[in-house]
Amino acid sequence: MPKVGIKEKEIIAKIVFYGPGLGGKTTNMQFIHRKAHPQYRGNLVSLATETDRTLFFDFLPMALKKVGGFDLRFHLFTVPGQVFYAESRRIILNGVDGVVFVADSHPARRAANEESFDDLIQNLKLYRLDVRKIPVVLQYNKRDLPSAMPIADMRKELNYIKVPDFEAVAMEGIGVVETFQKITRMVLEQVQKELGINVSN
Amino acid sequence: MERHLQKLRNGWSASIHLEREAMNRKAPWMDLMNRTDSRPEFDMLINRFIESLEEIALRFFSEEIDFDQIRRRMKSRKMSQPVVELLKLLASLEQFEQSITQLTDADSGNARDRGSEGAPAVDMEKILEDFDDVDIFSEYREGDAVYGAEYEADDQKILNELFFQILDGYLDPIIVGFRALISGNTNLKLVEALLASIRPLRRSAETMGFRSLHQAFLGMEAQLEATMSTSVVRPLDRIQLLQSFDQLARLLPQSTHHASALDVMDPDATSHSLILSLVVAPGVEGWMVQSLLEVGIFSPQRLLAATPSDIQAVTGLPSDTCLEILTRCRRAYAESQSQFR
Repeated sequence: MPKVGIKEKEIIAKIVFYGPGLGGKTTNMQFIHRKAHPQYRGNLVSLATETDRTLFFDFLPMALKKVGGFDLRFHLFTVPGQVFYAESRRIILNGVDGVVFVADSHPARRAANEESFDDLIQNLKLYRLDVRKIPVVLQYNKRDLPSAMPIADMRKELNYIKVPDFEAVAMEGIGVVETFQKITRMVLEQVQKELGINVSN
Repeated sequence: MERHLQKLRNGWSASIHLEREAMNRKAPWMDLMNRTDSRPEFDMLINRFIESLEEIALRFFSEEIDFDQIRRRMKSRKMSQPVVELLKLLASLEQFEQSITQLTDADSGNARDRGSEGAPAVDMEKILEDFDDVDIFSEYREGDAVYGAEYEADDQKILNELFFQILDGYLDPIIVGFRALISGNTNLKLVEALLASIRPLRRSAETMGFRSLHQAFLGMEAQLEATMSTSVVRPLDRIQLLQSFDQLARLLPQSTHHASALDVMDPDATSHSLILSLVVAPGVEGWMVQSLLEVGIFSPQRLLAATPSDIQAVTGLPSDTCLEILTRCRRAYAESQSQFR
């Protein structure tokens, strides 16, 4: 659950953008950084290779002051998607409160999507998290590709956990804001749910 | 002190009642409050009272309060009882606040509680309602507020911790490569692979603003490039590679496990950087250190255990020369250690 600081009046949540390499995780984050009001977002830090592939992670801090009397802080991270960066992904997932899974609509990336989704499930298990119980949003990116896989097929293969999903063209910002708004709200709803349990039990 | 604690315990119990009733907005005592002429003042007092209790509870009582007992008591009580308790406590509010001030002067550091059992309720409905009203993607206009500077230090801390955690993982294969090179692997493809691994790390260190770390990676890169240009990994290169790694290892936080260059040389080694101490020791020539490296003598333990024939078998040097190497190196190492005693 996100950190709830009663005294500090703040809620801090970690949201991770997960998915196969070159799927558009960094592009999502760049768009959020570019379009979010400067009041709400800090600096975007991208630690990338010389070919601009994410090596460590991207990090974008966001903060909304005095929302219902609390400061809401969201720490957004991307993971490196390439298979061989498995250890980095595990480290970044530690303490995660919400996940955006960015899938690639290109037919050639079908297996990579599934592999990455399985990787997410396994890595969450390491932290005793269940993909069905934490806030997860699926994003089908690159919907503008002429050869994009049918949404129904992608849903069937990836969204068997029945979480909210969105079509997107992250390069143009289509679907990015909706995805972000959904995951942040789900994370807050999770806080509500867990605090409710804590108080009423 | 015990008197204060008892009073606070009672107050805490009452505050939980009040918060829950207030959130439900259906408690009978709220009607009573609505009929009071001085409602704003009454509200203010309640708020101050509850805030103080929350703070006290977080600072002092997270382990002392028997929350289960409080819950049992809450369930068995009637709605009006919290009001009676509250009024009693409000009557002595001034004295109560003085007690709180005395107690809160000491900071126990237990300020942030992660939704612990029995934590005060947060009005999540209100938060969600207000959250929906915020337009994060509204257009920026001149004079608008910008991201809070108060968050930046905390953001940077999170960033740094994660960076070093991940860097640690990236260094593992580099250490394996360095170990191979220093131990005598002369494969230039290995040098090439190490260069390819180090370059993005150097860039990342630069992006993070870690100047010394960036410089250390640059030093390693320069050394590897020099090795590449000679098309052969010479014994001298090995020493310099070791030194360049040592520079890096010294910059890494203690939380990472790459404590010194010696770890690169010998995972069993303890804390003394043998080879580096020998490189600068009087009486020990460079070629002698190179001979040790070629044989794989990286640690004090190995230096003490080695025989002239171990060195001869690898280097082909005469037996008496090998003995001379061992004698001088052991003496130099012993002297270097005695300086620190």
